[in-house]
Amino acid sequence: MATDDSDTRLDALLRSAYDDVADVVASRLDVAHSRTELLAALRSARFDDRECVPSVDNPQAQALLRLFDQVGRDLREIDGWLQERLMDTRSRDLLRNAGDQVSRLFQGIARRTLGGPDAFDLLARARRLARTLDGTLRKTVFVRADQRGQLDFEPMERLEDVMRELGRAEPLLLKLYADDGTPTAIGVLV
Amino acid sequence: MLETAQGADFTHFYRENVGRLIAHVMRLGSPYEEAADVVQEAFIAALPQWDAIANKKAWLRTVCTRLHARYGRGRRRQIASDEVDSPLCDRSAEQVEYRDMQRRVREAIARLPRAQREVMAWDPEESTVAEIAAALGTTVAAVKTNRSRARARLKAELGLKEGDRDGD
Repeated sequence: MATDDSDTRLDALLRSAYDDVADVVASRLDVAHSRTELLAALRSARFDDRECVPSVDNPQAQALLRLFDQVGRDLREIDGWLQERLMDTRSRDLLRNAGDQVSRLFQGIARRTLGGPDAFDLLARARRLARTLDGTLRKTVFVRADQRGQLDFEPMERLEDVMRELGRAEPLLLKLYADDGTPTAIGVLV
Repeated sequence: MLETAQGADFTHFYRENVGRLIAHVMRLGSPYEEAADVVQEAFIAALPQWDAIANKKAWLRTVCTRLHARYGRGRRRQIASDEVDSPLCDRSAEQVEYRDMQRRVREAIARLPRAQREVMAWDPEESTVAEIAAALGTTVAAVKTNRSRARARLKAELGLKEGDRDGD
């Protein structure tokens, strides 16, 4: 095949230009650092919907908002842990689903737009999802521990906090809706 | 850290390709920092659907190309000449001439029409024409045409005369 000399010269110039760019990247890129930044960005992309606790006049409602805010923080911590390790999608789906229930509880109580039955239904779903996540995560963590010879308790402990906090929410909800004069809430519990 | 099968695949791919992708975006005209941001954003977009992406290399380059265009809107194209150029000190006359030619090459690439520049950003040693066409959502013929036109334009801009043959 005939090759024009200008083609050869252009190829050499382009090759050199490509290599120069590759050299710049090689000299500046720290893959480990870049990957850490990527993971941090992934996490912050999920955390930017962070809620703050509004001030309300009902002490039960205030306590519940603080509690659900804390649950939200704990779930986000666990989510970060899962994301850092790119755990199976089922665990993350469960966690997000539980987070959605808690977020709806938070918003509904803060705005006083949530009826008693709905509130207890959301809480029951959040607790169920947290328990399922606990079972799923426990298996994964112990399998990983077998493979690595060490156990990472942090997400499990954090999830236990979540279940404890959701448990503490139930009597507060009961009192809140009793105070509000919505006896149907009590009916749901019986 | 990333011990799941998906995580291992992602980590391996990331380590193997992050540098190449940044270089690709720089060849499109982004300075290093912007190219690194573009690549990071593309990986963030890829992660939730990682298993579903059949050709990850092409997919990421496609997303990077789009993001580069978005980042670049409203600013003049550049090929990061100041980043690629080494300091002026300790250069021989030959090195100065070589660097000057390199700068001219980068600037000539930066002035190419977008379709031609996107084709020329692909390192021919890393990708086939068919892969480039698939990633850019165009045909093999269109890639060849754009490459041919780009080369003709670069030769003209760089003063490379056609005519002399060095092989049959």
